[in-house]
Amino acid sequence: MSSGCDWFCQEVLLVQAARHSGWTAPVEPAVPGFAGWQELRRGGQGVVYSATQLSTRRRVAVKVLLAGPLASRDQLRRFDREIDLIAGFQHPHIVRLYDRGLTDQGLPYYVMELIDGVGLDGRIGPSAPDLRSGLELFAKVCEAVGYAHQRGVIHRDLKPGNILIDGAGEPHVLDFGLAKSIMTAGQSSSALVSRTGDFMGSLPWSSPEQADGVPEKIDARSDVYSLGVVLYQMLTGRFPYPIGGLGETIENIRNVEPPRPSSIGWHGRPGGWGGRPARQIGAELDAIVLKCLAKEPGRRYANAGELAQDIQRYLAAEPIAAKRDSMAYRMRKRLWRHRRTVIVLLALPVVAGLAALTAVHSFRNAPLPTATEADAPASVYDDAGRCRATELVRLQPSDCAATDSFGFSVAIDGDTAVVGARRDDDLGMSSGSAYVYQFDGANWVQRQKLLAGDGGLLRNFGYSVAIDGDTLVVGMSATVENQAAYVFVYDGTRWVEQAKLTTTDPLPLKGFSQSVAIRGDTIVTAPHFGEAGDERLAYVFERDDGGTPADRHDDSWAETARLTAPGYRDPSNLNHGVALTGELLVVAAPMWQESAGGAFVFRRQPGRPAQWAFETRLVPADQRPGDSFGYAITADANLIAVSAYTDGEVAEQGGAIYVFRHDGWAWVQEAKLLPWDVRGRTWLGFSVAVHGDFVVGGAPGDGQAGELSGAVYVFEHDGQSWQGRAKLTTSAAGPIAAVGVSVAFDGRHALVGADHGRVGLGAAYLYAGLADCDRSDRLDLCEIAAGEAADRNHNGRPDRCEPFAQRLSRNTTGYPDDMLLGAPDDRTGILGAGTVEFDFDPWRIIDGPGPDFNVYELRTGYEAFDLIDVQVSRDGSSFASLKASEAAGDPIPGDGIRGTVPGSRRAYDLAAAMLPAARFVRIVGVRAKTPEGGDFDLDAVGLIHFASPHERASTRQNAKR
Amino acid sequence: MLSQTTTHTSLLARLADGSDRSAWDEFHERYGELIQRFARSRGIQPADCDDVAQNVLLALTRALPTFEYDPAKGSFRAYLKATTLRAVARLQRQKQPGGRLADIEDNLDLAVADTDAEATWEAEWRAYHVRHALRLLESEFRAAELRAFQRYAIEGREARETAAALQMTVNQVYQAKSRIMKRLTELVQQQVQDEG
Repeated sequence: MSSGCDWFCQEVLLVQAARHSGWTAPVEPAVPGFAGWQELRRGGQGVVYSATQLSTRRRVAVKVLLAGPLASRDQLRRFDREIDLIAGFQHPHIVRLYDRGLTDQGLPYYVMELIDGVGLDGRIGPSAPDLRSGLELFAKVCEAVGYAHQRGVIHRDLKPGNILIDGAGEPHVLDFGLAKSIMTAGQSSSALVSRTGDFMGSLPWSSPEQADGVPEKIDARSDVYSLGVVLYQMLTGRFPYPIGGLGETIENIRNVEPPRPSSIGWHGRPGGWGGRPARQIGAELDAIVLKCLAKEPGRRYANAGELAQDIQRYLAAEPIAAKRDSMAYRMRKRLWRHRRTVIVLLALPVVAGLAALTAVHSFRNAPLPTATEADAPASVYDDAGRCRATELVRLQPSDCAATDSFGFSVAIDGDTAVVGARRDDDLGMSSGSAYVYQFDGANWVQRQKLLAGDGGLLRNFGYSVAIDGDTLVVGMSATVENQAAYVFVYDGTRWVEQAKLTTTDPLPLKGFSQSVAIRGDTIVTAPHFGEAGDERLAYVFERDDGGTPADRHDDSWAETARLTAPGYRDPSNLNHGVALTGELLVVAAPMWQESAGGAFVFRRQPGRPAQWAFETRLVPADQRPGDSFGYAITADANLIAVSAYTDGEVAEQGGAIYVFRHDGWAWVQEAKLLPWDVRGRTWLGFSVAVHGDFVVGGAPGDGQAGELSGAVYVFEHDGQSWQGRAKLTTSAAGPIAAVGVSVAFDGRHALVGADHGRVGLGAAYLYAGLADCDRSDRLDLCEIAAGEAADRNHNGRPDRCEPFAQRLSRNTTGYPDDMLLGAPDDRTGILGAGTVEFDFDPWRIIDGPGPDFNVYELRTGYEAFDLIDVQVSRDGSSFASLKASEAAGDPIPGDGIRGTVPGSRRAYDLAAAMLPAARFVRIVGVRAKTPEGGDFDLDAVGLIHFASPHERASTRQNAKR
Repeated sequence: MLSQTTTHTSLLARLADGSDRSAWDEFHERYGELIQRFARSRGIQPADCDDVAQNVLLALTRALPTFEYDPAKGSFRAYLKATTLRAVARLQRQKQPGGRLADIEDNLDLAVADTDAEATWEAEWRAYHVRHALRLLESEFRAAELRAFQRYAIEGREARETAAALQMTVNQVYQAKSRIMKRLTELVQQQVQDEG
């Protein structure tokens, strides 16, 4: 070895490095239901085994794909769809596909008919049959490919190796359409080389449009081209043009006109199909082959079926369709080609190598034609009925630079969402910020960007956020002195900084507000960095509302407690999570006892609201050092969820969430929730939120769409046990997105942060429909994602579950674009309590639409009702009240709204004065009379969006397109 | 082979361009594991190891536009190492209660000279190349040969024991070992030279 040889030339050092590398040889795939694995062949895409399918006792072929090429959810879904399509094929010369799935190691596999045979490439040679039987065989291959073309499937990777010849001499075409899924998959370096090799393995049979890397131009005629190359080989024993290096080959495919097969004779091993060639081949076969190999797809056979027919005509000595190109065309072509060559030659010295690489690169990575991009509802659910779904709304900041860590923290309560961006630089590097979004009845809009009044360099304001009603808290990180938590209150128009909470502790712990929680008038902060031996777990602050709860101006906050727990001494640092409900306060210490971790539960003392008593310490039943139990924590009523994101039960650092329930006597561990669909590190429980019967766990380490793409798992307690229900991803899934670095859930919406580490523009994703409104055992969100339920107003609740059901489907306003944007979710519960159904029928247009007015009828299930208030808005954000009368029974006077029919039906005339200006009408209050004679006041029951003439026009235009 | 020798150089070019997201992903895949494993063996929490990897990536994007890629100087490798060591050292200081920003910066250069870290880096870097090469070889050799290599060459078991366990002949075990070892040496050499 030359001077370049180093440690790797010494076997002992190489072995040492191999030992340290953690590499292990691949093991046999673990697929339930199959046994007796035998490796058949191995390539860049994967490995093909033969195995026995236990249910049928038959031997089948199982192809297990490498992980890299199909990393993302979209790619997998595309792959699944392709397989499903091909599995429907029934053709004697197409290898049957039986099944597909994921191995226990998470690799996609598919099961197919086991053909005992050799590739066509093994038959181009001494043992090949004569020319006629060779052409008959080739015609069968073309028929098979034509069968697929008729069904809209293109093979894309036809070559002799993909045509198996069985013992009876019959051909079987293999790997239909799979090249597409794999060729277009995102790249990965380890797969890159092998797949490049694989691509090289297919390149000689590629059409010019494939070599150009223009996937939208690839169609059935590309397969015709590849078949032409195969036929050329069968006739001559060689390729139509020289096959060498990557760049050279691509150039030749693009530009070199193949010589007529009859002009070159047999160049393969002696005794091939050509056998006694030139004489036998003749002009007609030349024409057929060259028609296949035309550079322009338009000059080839339209599909493989036409090619098959022409071969059959030739064999039957009938006139063929292929004709030699006219002289004029050949001349034009030559001139054009000449021009091309000049350009290429000029450019060659500089960019040729790069261009060739680029072509391969874009070929592999190019997107699929849009026709195949359509969603496949069938694959939303897995076998266990768990679904995958993407977000309802993506929140991104209006001004964010790429590395602000927007989404590192999130909080949500009702119509207000808060997203922290701790590395925002508005007030100096990593000074941080928090964004407030509000739902205006139609959209989530960014309302405000919060900064600390005394913000500055490295404060990381926004490291943590929490909200309850009109008060929100923003924490910061430990990097600087003067640690504080900032309290903002909503004054009716905007959020204003009201207090800066600091401790009077003479030796305050660092990272004082790195975890914050608020509930009602209590705020708790859990410091992240303690001193060794320190006993302090958390600081508690209480609000004094000055005797006027409605008025926030005179509020003040005071530190009321520093919590310690028996047996707790800080190992050196750090506490991570804190959770707060009305009565409970839970602090988690994941580093406690050699990172085994623990959670400490405190309960508010009855009658002494500012006093918290230590209740218990939670540890998992299977506690192990290093699990980081308590990294994230959340609580609701009598449930506490504590995560251990490095737990190794399902995979190394797969993560887990422990659920504890108070059974009336004590806290008991009810379940350990684990991720499914795991490809290794997942970090389930990096963040966690619980509400009602749902646990939402962030898993930013999940690698489904590339390393650290992240995901969120949703679990539901079905009354008996906890079930995994859904895996949430995002429409913009990709590596390092870190989806799930933070989560919040208020029962209505789950808000999920994806801060993209430090490399991308972060985002927060809002999900609705984490509920089962029709008790179907499927989440609303899943039903919508699967296309099983419509959600026209895009609020995450199936239309059939809307309190105002289906008014749009009945086109009640006469305009197809008018939207009812829905009512707040929980009114049914408040009102009905199981006895009175909240059952508004649709608004129904009973007159109009006229130029100036429309009359709408509003019906309820109640004996009688009145509107308390109606508000209108031009832009959907600022609503003006129409000053309705509150006197029960009185029709609402004037101002554009007029009640006309008493009782359970009432018509309203939304008149000229209002409608031209107001495109949003919000029914703010309804007073309903029940059969028992009681009154209910409902606030904010619905919103109608009247599309503007402009919107109507554009919708119609789109529909036409 | 073409792709093997060009990926690294073209990857650097694409990284330098700064706008090519797939270059990020590829770089992350190539070196993320190396950086993270190094960080782990330097006692960094798993969650923070990723921060380290991303800090290194960020530093690279800033540096690459002005980065003279010269394989003869071994500059990429040296740069990667220095950046990683620095990123780990910075995090270690930050995690220490009482650590001040100024101290952190002061200590960085010391950390780079830290011989312990040097040795750890060298081991992880070698392991990375061997791991990368072995993964490539997975598509070149049959699983049985790879398993034989693992047991006999890496784990140091008896050839006869290996042969019995894998239902191979002893000769096949020897062959598998020598063939894979030869390719492994070639590939690692190629990778190391390519990396510069």
